[in-house]
Amino acid sequence: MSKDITLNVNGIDHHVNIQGNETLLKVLRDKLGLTAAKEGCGAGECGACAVIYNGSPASSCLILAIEAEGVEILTLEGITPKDHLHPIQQAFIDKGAVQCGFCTPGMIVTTYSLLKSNPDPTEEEIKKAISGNLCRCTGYVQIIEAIREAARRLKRSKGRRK
Amino acid sequence: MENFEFISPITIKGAVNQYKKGANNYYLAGGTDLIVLMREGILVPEKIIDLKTAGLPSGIKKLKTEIRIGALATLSEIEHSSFIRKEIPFLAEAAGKLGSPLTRNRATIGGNLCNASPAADTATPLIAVEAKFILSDGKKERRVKAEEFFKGVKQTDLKKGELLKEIVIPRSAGKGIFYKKSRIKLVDLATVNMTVYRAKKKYRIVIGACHITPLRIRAAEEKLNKAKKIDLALINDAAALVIKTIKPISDMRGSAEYRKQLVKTHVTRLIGELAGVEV
Amino acid sequence: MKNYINLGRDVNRLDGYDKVSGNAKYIADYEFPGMLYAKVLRSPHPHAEIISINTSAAEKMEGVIAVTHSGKCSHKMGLYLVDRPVFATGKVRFKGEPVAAVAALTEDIAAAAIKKIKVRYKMLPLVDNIEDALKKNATLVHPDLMKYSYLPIYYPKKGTNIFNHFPLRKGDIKKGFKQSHKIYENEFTLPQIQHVPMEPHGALAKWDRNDKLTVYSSVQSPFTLRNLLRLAFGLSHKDVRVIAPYVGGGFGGKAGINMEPLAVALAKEAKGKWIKLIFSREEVFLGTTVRQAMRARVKTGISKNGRIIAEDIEMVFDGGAYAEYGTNVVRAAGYTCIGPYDIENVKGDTYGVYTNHLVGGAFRGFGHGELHWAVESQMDIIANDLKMDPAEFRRLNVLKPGSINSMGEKITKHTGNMVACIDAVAKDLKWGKSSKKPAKPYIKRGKGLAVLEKAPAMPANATSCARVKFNEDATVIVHFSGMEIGQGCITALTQIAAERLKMDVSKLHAAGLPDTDFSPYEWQTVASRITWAVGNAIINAVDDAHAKIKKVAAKVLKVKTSQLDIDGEKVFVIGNKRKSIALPLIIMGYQYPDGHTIGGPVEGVGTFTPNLTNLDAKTGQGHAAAEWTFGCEGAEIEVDTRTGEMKILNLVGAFDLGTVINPSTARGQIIGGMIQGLGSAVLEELKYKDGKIANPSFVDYKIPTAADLPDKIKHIFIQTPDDGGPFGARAIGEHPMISIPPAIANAIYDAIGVRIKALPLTDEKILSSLKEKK
Repeated sequence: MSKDITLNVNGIDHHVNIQGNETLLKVLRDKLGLTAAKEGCGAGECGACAVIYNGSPASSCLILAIEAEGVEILTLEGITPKDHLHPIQQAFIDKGAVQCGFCTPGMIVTTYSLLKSNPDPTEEEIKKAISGNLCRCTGYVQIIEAIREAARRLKRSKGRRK
Repeated sequence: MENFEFISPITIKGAVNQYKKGANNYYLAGGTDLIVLMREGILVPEKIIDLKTAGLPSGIKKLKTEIRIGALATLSEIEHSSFIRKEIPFLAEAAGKLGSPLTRNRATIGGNLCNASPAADTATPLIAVEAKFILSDGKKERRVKAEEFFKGVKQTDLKKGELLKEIVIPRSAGKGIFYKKSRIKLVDLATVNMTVYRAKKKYRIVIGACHITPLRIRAAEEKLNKAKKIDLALINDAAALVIKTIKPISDMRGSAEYRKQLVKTHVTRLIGELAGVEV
Repeated sequence: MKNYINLGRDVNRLDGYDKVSGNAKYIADYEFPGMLYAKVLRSPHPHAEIISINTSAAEKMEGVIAVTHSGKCSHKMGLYLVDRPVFATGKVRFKGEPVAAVAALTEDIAAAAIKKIKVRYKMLPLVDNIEDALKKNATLVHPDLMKYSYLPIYYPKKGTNIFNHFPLRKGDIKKGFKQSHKIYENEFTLPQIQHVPMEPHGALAKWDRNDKLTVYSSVQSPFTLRNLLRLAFGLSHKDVRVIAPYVGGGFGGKAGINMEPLAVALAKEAKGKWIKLIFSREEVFLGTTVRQAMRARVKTGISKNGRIIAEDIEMVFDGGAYAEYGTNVVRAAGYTCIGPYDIENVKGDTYGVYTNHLVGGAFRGFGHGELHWAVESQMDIIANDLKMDPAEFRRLNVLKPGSINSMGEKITKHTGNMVACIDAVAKDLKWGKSSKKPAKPYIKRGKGLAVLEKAPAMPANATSCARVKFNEDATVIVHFSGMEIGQGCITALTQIAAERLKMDVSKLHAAGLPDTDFSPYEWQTVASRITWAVGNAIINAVDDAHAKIKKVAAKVLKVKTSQLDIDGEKVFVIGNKRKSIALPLIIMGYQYPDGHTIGGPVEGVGTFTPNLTNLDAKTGQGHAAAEWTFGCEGAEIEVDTRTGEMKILNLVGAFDLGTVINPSTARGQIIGGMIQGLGSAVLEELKYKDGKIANPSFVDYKIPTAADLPDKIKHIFIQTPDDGGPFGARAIGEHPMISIPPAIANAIYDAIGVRIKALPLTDEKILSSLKEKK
């Protein structure tokens, strides 16, 4: 079946015609041009396609687009501020947490959600939070350091705003 | 993935009616298993019936004598629920060891149970606390014991179209421990999993991934429950009874022999920990 | 260390912005109007004759534009040995081999059409392992082996499954064993493993009606891909253009030629249309390449004072169904066969054999992870038997300045310092001191270490070219075709260019992603060679640009070019800095006050060729190593003896990588490699059932997650400058993966006295080995 639906992505309503069997990932990439989320396995095992779905990170390859009508969806494109980088993104660069970059969007999306709910995570909490985001390049160590650094920077900027 | 008709019923009855209209219709909850099977072409549904709009109870409720978990509660909700963590921490632990955080944010406890994998992580704790499952066919409801819900690999007590609606857990001051062994620390299927539970000095032992269903080992429980004093020798005897009962298979995650070794060692440790016996 | 402006500091990755913002485009992110989508039909059998292929039902489907198979496309491909057809021809040789392909208006249509292709097979006997392949009267996977074309540095054996035999002879092996006080013989094995880049392989191809071919690919080797495509499809280099976007991880799995010909074959059938072929994860497992499995038999003779005086090593690699690239894995393992040891008498025989398994190819470490698994386990067995400290045994026997290695190359003080690597690891592990006693008596702890060496495995004519182009404001664009596959070459190479230009790296831009129509030539991004080789080419390119500037400046300033020097801002007369010309005034040509202009836009070109020779066909002696990187890796572990469960407490690696260009990216290579090594040590294995791969998914092929990290992990830089490297730098990309497996196996032995000789070192295997010991 096909259907016209409205998808709310990064705060914008998109009216799209979708097939019933299209995943959210496919529609984001092919119909909305939001290609930051990647398909690494298509089976919810690698985390490269992570988006924030209804407030929590989820694999967009395991969500049907048709289910997503009326749900708030946030992708890496929506996390990136208009004219600079988000502190998490900058920390990933500064701490050498990026290599081939294919897992990076999903990793940042998952981190964004982690630091929202837990601004000061322990190393164990970080490891658990990103355990569904596979990375074959970095060995994770510099990613974990970047997440800790991002947490510090976010805390500091929050402190300044007060 | 082949195309299908997508139905969003607004009542349980509507969901069941739609389901019964064809031989190849499937309920959709979290989708974390279903969509993989569809993508691989193992399932080619005519209709997908989305349960998330069908008025099934979601969330976790604390009542005076029982805890109720809606079938659509996600594993993340269970993992992070403060009173599940307080009252049934081993269920929170089991939920938190299923798949990845990304999966747990979508996967539901109903889906995990209705898939009826012998290795289902939430099954052993629920059998151990003698939970009951409320099943509905849209007209009538019935209750089955968690233990009796599982009938075989991928087989449950559900009749055609019938749904798992809610899980009822009697409140008790018992203590339990969940253990899972997998090839990597997290984000893996269980090689073996198990829950050992003790309430009022009575033990319950449930082993997963070692039989066609999760298995409660009554012989071993009785051995412990009849004894005046629990010591290492008795625990070893109980563990031996566990090993005698289970019938694990050899597969990608481990040989039958290895599974038996794991179960023997860990069931001994879990009983020892609950009994306060050094093992 | 010298005072460098741009080297030895953590310059942030120049591709960082693209990658954290989602701006970086990978192969699957490209879409062109009118694009067709491709799917591949794969063999369900590991070895079977193709009786017939019927595509008529698929061709009749609405939306199907092209269908192809061996009947339409009979081309063969191969880097070193041309043995692989684009589509299975006559017979299928592994489960998953492409048999046909479809291009259609949508992916769904292509997938449905694939199912309508009818293929009839007749089963053939299975060659399921090394033993099957080597036995007398074995079924031949390639009966026509001797008809294939191959480079003359490889030695296939007529009438066998052996696609390459590399012999190595040094000294007098008989005499060596005769003089030996003790002799040790052991056998070690390891299974096939997968690279698992997070990005699945993909290619886009368009074959225009004027026979010009354009290909986008997730590729480590755009120029080699161009060369192999034009050979396979009979085109001229000038008519093939390969464009390489960011690569989402390679590890060797995207080297040489891979799945691109499938897209090209379809493009040829649907001329003028873009074909998009992106592999699913399952297809990455089935249809790309894997690390070859191996069986090694090692016989080692030891003198009374603990010196190794003779070693006879036979390695047999399971090369799978096709050997095209794997041929050179055999050679590379063959010439390094004894590892970094000083041994007078050596006999090495390294074989590659065909089986009906997945196709073996290049994989991070390229034969060296395999050979060091055998050699470094063997050394530990010997040291323990001799009751010598395993670190001390190695210090006594490893290569040192003055030693002659397996190929007959002389080691100098510039080659690197192996002993310093051992010392650094021993220090970190508190070697010689017992581990802290665990709380439970059934938990045992142990420590182990293993050394390693590797040189870039490449032919003697693997060359590089680079360009530096000045802009009007005297900023610089650097061009090279080393592929950014995650290792950080864009950043490191730009740092090298900046250093030679005496400019801050912020004044440079790297035109990083190659297009064979516009970019300078590069052989391949493999073998840990890019920073080293392209770095040298860049230095030469800067010198060329500087020479051009000096030539014009000499005229203007009326001095000889030898009197001139250039810093980042101006060209000046040595000893008189005031007599100078600011770079912006000269790099587009120098204009005299009357308007007359001399010189012109400055662009420097540099090349680099490694100084290598072929190896002797009978003895393997010669010079195949452009440079060596030495290293040592160590582990401290604990084992629960009741469950076999192993915990990694500490993992440490020390590498003599010469001058460190960028500590952060170098660390990234080391830690990342060590964790990939950990996966290969304790988890990873492609499993077969009846010749069919049984675990082609992330559900059953597990790689480490963040939760599987050791309690501690540490990298140590040893920096002995390499006299042939750019600013003294040496290779580091592959090495950290190599000796993690033997280091852990040796630690297991130290902890529980059990020697496991077959990878991976799973908990289950540890437990069953413990039982056998009892």
